[in-house]
Amino acid sequence: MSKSPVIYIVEDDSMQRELLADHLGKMSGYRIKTFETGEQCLSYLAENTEVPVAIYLDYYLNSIVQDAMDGLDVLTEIKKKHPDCEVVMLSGQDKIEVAVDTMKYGAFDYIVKGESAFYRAEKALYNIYRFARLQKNANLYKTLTITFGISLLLLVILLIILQQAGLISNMPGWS
Amino acid sequence: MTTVSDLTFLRKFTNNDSERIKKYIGMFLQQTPAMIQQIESSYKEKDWTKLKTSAHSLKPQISYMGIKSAESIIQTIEANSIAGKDEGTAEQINKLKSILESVYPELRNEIGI
Repeated sequence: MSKSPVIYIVEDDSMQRELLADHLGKMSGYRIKTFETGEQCLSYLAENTEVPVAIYLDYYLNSIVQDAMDGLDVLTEIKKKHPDCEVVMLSGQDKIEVAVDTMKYGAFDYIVKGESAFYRAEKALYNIYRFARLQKNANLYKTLTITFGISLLLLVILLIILQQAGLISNMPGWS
Repeated sequence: MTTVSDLTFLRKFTNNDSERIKKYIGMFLQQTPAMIQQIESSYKEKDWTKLKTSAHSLKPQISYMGIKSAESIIQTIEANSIAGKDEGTAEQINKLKSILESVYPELRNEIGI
């Protein structure tokens, strides 16, 4: 039996971490792996080949470990090594400039912590899934278009060669 | 009897699962006294960055336990720490501490400890 996809949660507040893991695990049926610091998450990512479908990453990660990397630095590192891995930022700050900043660094979404955060986290996961599906379809259409283009080109070249060899006529009927 | 906390969110979130409610209240009771201590010590040291981080961390927990009377206070403490504003911050911290101290017995009673 294949393993279900995995979601990472990087959050230094144990209650917040537990609530989010509880909610996303129940809602999605995905496996959840949690980390207290960004450093722990990055070293786990480096040691494992399986890339998570999404990483929920806290903006401030220094309430327990004072000199821990902050969320933006962790986000930058994740995107550098795994550009396709979607990161959802979490913060207690309801500020548009903070949200815009995280998007500039490549975050998929920005969620303000609070009662509605869990529903929004669920919605973000659904959007990530939808986006991945659309991207997969777009890649498939791209491949099909290129294949069709090359086939058409080869056919035209073949017809030219055959015509020049006198094996086919350029007259209607080609007899 | 009126209560300081309102567990509507927690009950809805856990689908009224008493074990999960107990777990989250337990975490709150275990964590917040240390967080308040951190807020107090950061303020005494006038370490505004540390105060901001501590207030910021406590904010969602207050919301999950439905402690409405403390929500604006923690927001003020966070805003003051960002601005490095000393005036009125000590009073706000004391108010917060006293609200939380009145919540603890309520929550302990809720989970039967």
